[in-house]
Amino acid sequence: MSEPVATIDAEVWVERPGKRYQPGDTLQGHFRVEGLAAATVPVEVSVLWYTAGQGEEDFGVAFFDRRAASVGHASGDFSAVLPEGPFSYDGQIVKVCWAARLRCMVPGGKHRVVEAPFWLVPRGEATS
Amino acid sequence: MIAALDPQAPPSRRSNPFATCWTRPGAMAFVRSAGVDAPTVAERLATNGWRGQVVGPHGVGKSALLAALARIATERGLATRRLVIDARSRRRVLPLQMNAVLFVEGLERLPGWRRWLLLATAARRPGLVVALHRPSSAPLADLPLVAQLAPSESMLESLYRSLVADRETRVTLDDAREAFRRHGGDYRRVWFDLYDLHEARRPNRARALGVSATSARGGGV
Repeated sequence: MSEPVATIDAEVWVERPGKRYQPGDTLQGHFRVEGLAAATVPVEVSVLWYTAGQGEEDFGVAFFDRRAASVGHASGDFSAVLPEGPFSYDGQIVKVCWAARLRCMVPGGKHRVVEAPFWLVPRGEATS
Repeated sequence: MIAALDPQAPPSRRSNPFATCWTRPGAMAFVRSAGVDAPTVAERLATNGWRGQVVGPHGVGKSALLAALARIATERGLATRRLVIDARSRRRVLPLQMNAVLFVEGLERLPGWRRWLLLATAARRPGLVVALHRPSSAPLADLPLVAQLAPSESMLESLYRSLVADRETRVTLDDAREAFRRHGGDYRRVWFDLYDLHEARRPNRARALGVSATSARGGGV
């Protein structure tokens, strides 16, 4: 039997206050998962951008790593050098979103996703 | 302040609870509606050899119901496969493997002979369940109607509450009801309206922009 997704306590976060980065910056992040009953359930860590809004969605992945959980929990660090774009954009019709994402697999095909969103802004605009 | 209404928060899928990522077909869990619930429909399908059609207008929950039915079939040990036919996939190769119960969305979008080809294989599959906007005409007559979904204000309320459960918004249930009436029960248009309303009511949106529109375009957005 698979454990209910709601019982998984998962968290991912990035280090920088203000969460503003610019191209070429190295993003340092951390994650933590508790409550997995199975010992071998993998977790996926990624740094990615995606569009959100009313239309079709697009995305791109800057960093991806799959790590095994051990005895129901997992934690770790990750880092990624951020690319030249696309830049974050908070538009009304479409938004370009950057995030560090943690995806926890659960037997039975379900998964739980948590994100730490951040800004990717042009050089010179990184000061919050 | 919760991120969705914080002007300094980076944009994310949580910025708007009515964005496509939350409201697209199949993204929301199936909500019991007018006596239609997934276990009951699954029983009807099981007694019909996992063959049947689910009928209802756009956005009423057909995809969510099919997803729930597929999960039930899987739990009963059946192999399942989901086929979503949209504008981009309507001319791709059809899955002709006969070892899985096939759940099909968008059957009406298939060109006539491809639809015929898919249906012609139905008898050799362990099951075929299709979602349609209207009850089928003659070529689908051997697939019994197992569920007919219709929009309702009670279902709207359940969907609205699930969308805003952990995503803050200044869009109210009364706003949702008003849009529901204005659009004659078309959920898809309701979510579009509520998306725009949420954006209009976000505080200090102008200061929330991370970059100017000009520099965003220059960055390849």
